This record gives sequence, C-alpha cells and structure tokens, in this order.
Amino acid sequence: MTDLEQITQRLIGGDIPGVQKLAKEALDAGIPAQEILNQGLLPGMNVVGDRFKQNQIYIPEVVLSAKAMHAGVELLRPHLEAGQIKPSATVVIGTVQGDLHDIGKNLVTMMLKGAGFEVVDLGIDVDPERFAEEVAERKAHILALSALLTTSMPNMKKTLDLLSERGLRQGVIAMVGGAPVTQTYADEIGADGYAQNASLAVDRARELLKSSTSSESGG
Amino acid sequence: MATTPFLKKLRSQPVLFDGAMGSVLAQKGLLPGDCPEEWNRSHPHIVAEIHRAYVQAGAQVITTNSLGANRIGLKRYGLADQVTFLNQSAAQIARETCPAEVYVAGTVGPTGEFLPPLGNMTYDRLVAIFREQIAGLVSGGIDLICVESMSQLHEARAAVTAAGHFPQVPVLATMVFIAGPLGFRTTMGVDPQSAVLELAAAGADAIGCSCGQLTLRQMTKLMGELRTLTELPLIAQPDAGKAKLASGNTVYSRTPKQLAEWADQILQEGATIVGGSWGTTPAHIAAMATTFAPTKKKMGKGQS
Repeated sequence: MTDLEQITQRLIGGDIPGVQKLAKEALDAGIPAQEILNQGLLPGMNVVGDRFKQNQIYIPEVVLSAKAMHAGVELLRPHLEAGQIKPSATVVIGTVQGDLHDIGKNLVTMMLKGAGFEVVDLGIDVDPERFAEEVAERKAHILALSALLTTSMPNMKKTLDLLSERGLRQGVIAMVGGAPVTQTYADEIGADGYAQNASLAVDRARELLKSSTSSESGG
Repeated sequence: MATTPFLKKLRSQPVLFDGAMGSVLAQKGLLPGDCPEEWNRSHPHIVAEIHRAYVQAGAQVITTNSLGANRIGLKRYGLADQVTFLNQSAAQIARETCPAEVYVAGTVGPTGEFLPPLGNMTYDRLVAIFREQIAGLVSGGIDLICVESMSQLHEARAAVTAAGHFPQVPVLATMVFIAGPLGFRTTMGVDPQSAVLELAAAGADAIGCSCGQLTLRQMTKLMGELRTLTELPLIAQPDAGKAKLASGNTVYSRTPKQLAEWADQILQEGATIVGGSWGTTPAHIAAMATTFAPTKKKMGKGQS
C-alpha cells in the first residue's frame, strides 16, 4: 500500500518518470490497475487541485502534475478492463467566438482530465454553431464555455440560445468561466454553473452532474 | 543605466503614464475577434484620438498600441508578416500625436507561449521574436520600451534582453502579480525577489506590476516589498477593477476618484511611475493627474 502512497507523492511533485516507474512496479507486483488509479493517481490530483485553489502552488506545478497523471493513466490503460476506465462524463469545452485566450481554458481542461472526465477541447474562437454540433455529436454531459474579454461574453449567451433553439439545452449542463465572468452573469444568461478557477470548476462539474443524475432518476 | 532624457526626468520626479488601450478600443468599436494592433493600419485616427485624450488628461508618457504585436500574437490573426509595419506605425501614430515633451513608450506584451516542460518555445526564439517587434517600434520613434504584463520570468527576461539590443532606449518591465498565502506571485509562481533579480540583471531600468487581481491596498503593499528589494524606480499600473456587463456595456468597479486617492499613497510608498491598465480611461488618468501635481516636490522613500 505504501507504493500507492508514493505514487500519490510523485504525482503531486510532478515527477513524470517517477510516476511511470512506480506505477509499472505496482502493476508488476500484481496490484490491480484500477486500485493504482483510484488510490495512487486520483488522490494526488485532488491534492494538487486543493493546493492550486488556495494559491499554494501555481500553473507550472499543476501542469506537471497533470502530465504525470496522464502518463500514469496511459500506462495503466491496457491493464484496465474495458469499461473500467469509463469517464465520469464527457465535457465539450472551448473559448467562445471572438476570444483567442486559452490559458484558463487549458487549465480547466487539464484539471477535468485529471479528475477522470473525457474532455473534448474545441480550442479558441469557437462559434455557437460548432459548440452545438459537438454537443449533439459527442452526447456531451457538460458544455464548458470560457471568455476573457467582456466583449466576447455575449457569445456565451448566443451559444446557449442556439442550444435552446436546437432543443439541446435541456440535455446538457452549461458551465461558464473566465476572468470577467461572474455568478451573476452566469445566472443572467441561464447557465447552470460558474466557477472562479480551474480547480473549483472540477468541484462544480461534479456537483452539477450529481444533482442532474439524481433529478433524472427522480423524474 | 544609460542616461536618456526620460531616465533623467524619472530620477527627479514621479511620472504619470496613460491608461488602457485595448478596452478603450473596444468601446470605440473594436469587435471581439478583431486584432487591436491591426487598427494601427485600418483606424489610425481612432488610435491617435485615444492617445490625444490621454495627453489632454495629463499623461506624461503615452504607450503605443502594440501589446500583442509580436510574431506569435499576430499569427493568430494571419498577420505574422506585418510585425514591422504594425509596430512602426504604432510608434509613429503616438509620436505624431503627442507634443514633444510627452514621451512615447513602445509596449511589448507576452506571446502566450511557454518554454519546456510546459510548452515548446525556446528562450532564443523568444528573444528573436521580441527583437523583431522592438526594432519596429524603435524605427517608428519610441523613447522607451515598456515590457508589460508578463507572468513567465523567462519571457519577461527575453523581452528585456531583446530591448538591450537598442541601448538608446531605456526599458521598463512589469509583471502581473496576484496575492496568496505564500505572498505575491505571478500565476506562473514567480515571486517578487526572483523578478527583481532577473530583470535587473537583464538590464531593466524600472520594475513593477500591472493589472492582476490585486486590491489597491495589496498593490501598495507590493510596492513596499519591491522597494526593499531594489533601488530601481518602481512602476504601479493597476487596472480598473472587476469588469461587469451592465445592459450590454462593460462597467469597471474602480472609479477615477479611487485611483486618484490611491495614486497619492503609492507615490509615498516609493513608486515613481504610475499609470493604468485594463479598463482605465482618460477620466482615470485625469483624476490621477490632479493628485500628481502636488506630490511632484516630495519624492517617495528610497529615492535619492
């Protein structure tokens, strides 16, 4: 068990070869891949998320840990039974039309991937049409929209409006974020969720998924 | 430190910079997805109008419309072959608009690219990219260079180093700091000590902070901290606060009066260059200018 704790520590330290080496040793020692993922890798990303949220670590540390996480998951993948690595949900993410900023969006993408989400990153300057198409095609559970410019924020609303027009809005959780975006603005345009930073975005995505699945089973 | 008229002025009295360019361009019709620096070619009269408004407000230094006009930034708009032209015209528009006693600072911002292990950019390539941009600005007649809003230390250092190829113009450098339990850091984790050490060694003539999510009180505290770390002149360029969309218009939380009161404090804390970043307007600068006049005779601590 101490091996898994060490994997967690290596992941927190952003030690990519270290995570790979220990994960391989754990596999060789007969520890199930699922256990390595759940008790070695995932707890590490949770710690990284918490520390980032509290400004105890910064972007470089988060990126390195996310890369270590990714390297670990790739190593485990062939050993996980089909279906076992099932992503908790599919997220379609992008920076809205007219906005070329991607640092925040990339961070959210990394944190979501680290938390086990399947993330489809559409990049920057994504028009409403493309978001709507991808949400439909990927059967996305969550749509995450980013904007850094107040001038491009209205395109968040345009995107949500187009989803409503196409009858897609009910089926997807819409989250918004970016420096000028606020909870008030999210409420105004009828988004389901807002998060102040990448780490909180993961927490919020989990909460929203949980409440949406519980309301589905209830009705 | 090379002695130029600007640096001489800086040693004798505090200097007021202008406010934002990008957010004012947006008010004047720049659409999301448009390249702000392309307006140096398509709408030079509007860029000039903004410069003129800042001069009238009392700004002693005008910054060019060139923040993102490096090869990487312009490539996103398909304008990578326009680096020299757009920077040269940015400098010319400002130079032609401003009276002779107003200085023109060529603005150089981040590329958005990362060095390994986070990205694939190289340090040498960054220096070459900034050198190309700065050459354009210098040929258009700038008096100084302002490396602005950097988060990565390597990138800030690359820009300051590139500016060193043009010894006739001094170079100022600001980074974007945020506050946390570890103290002030950029989003990339750079602390004030490292910033001061590296940028001073690379040849920066002044160092400071622009934008960021700092409260005005935190910005004041940061200046106090920087003052203990360096003898170099300090730059403080706060933004206009949190942006809000109110019935389709962008509204910022900090009023001209708030920034004016704060400017008075920050000069006493040791900053010598004060201006505004994202969201600030000629009204903010005009308000700051009124508090500026009486402080001219008293220099902040740490200056001799």
